[in-house]
Amino acid sequence: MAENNQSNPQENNQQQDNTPQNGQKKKFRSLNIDGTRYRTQLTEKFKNRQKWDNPLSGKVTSEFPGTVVKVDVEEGDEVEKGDRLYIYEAMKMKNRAYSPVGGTIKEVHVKENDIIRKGDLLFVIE
Amino acid sequence: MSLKRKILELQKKREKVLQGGGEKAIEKQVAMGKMTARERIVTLLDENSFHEYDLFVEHEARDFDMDKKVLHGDGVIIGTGTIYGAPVCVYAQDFTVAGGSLGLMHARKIGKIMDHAMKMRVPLIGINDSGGARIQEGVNSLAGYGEIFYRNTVASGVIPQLSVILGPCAGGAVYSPALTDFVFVVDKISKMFITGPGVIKTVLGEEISMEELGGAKVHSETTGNAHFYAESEMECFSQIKKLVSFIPWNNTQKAKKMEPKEPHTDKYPISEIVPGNPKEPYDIRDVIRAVSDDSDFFEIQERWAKNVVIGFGRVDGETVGFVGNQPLILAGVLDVDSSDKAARFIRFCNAFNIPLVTFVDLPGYLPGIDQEHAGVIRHGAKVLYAYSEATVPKITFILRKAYGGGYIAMNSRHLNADFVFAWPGAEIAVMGPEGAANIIFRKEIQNADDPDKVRRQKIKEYKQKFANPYVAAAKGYVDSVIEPQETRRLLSHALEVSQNKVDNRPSKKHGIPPF
Repeated sequence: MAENNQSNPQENNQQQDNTPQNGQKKKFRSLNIDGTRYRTQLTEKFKNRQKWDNPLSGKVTSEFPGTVVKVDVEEGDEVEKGDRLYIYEAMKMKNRAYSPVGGTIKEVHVKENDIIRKGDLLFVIE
Repeated sequence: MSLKRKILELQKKREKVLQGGGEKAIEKQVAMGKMTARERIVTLLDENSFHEYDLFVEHEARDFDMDKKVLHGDGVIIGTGTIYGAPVCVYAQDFTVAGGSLGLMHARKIGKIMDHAMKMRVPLIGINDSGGARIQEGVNSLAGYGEIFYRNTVASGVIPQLSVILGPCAGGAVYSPALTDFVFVVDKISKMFITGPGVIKTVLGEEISMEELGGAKVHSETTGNAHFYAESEMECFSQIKKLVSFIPWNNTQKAKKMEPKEPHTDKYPISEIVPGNPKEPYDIRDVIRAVSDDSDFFEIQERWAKNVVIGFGRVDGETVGFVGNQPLILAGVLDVDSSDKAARFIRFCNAFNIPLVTFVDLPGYLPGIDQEHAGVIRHGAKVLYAYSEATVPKITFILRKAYGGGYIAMNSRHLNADFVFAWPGAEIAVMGPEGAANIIFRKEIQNADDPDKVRRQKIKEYKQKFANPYVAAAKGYVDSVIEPQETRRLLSHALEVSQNKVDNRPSKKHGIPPF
């Protein structure tokens, strides 16, 4: 079955050519699947896919959109895994967010009353 | 009172109710570029075939001064009619009456026509144009939605259910279309979302228009919630009519047979469409058109997950469901979205006795961290489940690549396909020659003086030995290796001899597909 040994398609679709297809000029790219390069078109969704980020890297992002009610830590604080970092209001509830790792707070990018979106970078912990 | 006067009275009452929300509201509706609810039904159905019921239904709300308000028909029109002679049950929400809001009686009318459709075993068409729940009626409007969802679910797989979004369809209301088989949207008119731009702005401070959040393009290109996209309401109605012509009235019948027609082989010369090199793209829809009656292919979800193509066509006048990998887009891989798209269509065809015809040309499932984390295992499994579960005639043509898990998934013999044909250029193998050679001959390649030369040589060897249909044919996994121009004849023959197919499965309440 498809063992994916070396193909990160992101790196491999740089080439392009313009061959008329059905009378229309369309952009063809090269897509690497299991070591074979196919000439094909890409979709917007494929092109816009997000690069993976290690969730345990110490970068704490917001898990849910809402309004920050309280920030419990400041730069330089020592935290343990499971310590409360901030409280935010969303879906008519006050929600608590906890640190996924232990370490020192290096960066704080959030303060009370901030409106946060899902995926916003809030803290960096080392 | 004489009967004559009573008739006059009826006529007057009718006339009043038929005005819907009145002149001003109708003007507003027209200014939004929309037809009125009754115009829509009359345009959609066969001439003079529509008959309306529950014209004189009135709401029972008493709170918030609702007792002083008259809402004609309670904002929804229900009735029966025909499309190309096929009976259908229809409801259309009337935006001119209290914004088409859904209250208890409104929901009860919809429920009534749904029950009728189920009793008569005929398709149901719902035209949605509603501001949402009628807040004044509180929990009663929620009850109304819930009862509609329940009926949608019970009717699923028994009668075809079509949802037409011709206005807003917001909040809980969106779940009825989501439970039905086909959703139609029209550019600039359809708007579907759970929470609207207002709430999103208050909660998140993000500004987005209704169109950008849940317009026709969004649902037909990004979310996959819609199946048919039209530029105008008229175009939308002709799509609905065409769909109805392809499908049966219910799950005990077959679709109506039409006059057989030959494909346009001059325009779609089947032997010349597919390039010999499996890395080169082409449009799989040309192959489908090369075998379907009159080269007519009615594509579904043509703007979403385009790496797989699904839709209806006819062979010898009989409706078939076509599924094909699309090498033109993402090399035709299966991924999260295309698996979802194909699996749901396969289940519709199976539920409604429509034979499945599959064209295979895919390099496998899409590799990538985003796909793995998006659950390509669970979504990809839907295709395996849907094909394995299907008991309608299942016919497969392997045109070129059929590698790995993708080969198994695309209605292979192993999932109990009835007929598997392969073209001479078919490559049925565990993976592409490049990948396979790199793994099998890894050491030899590494240790060689000229690794590239050895690699090329090993790839060539592997190609010659395995990249063909004969290894699979030798095991009987492929029934017959055929010339491309024999495709239509064999397809027609396979369908002919599959007419009395019996495929008994163990009885069960229901399976548990990987939703």
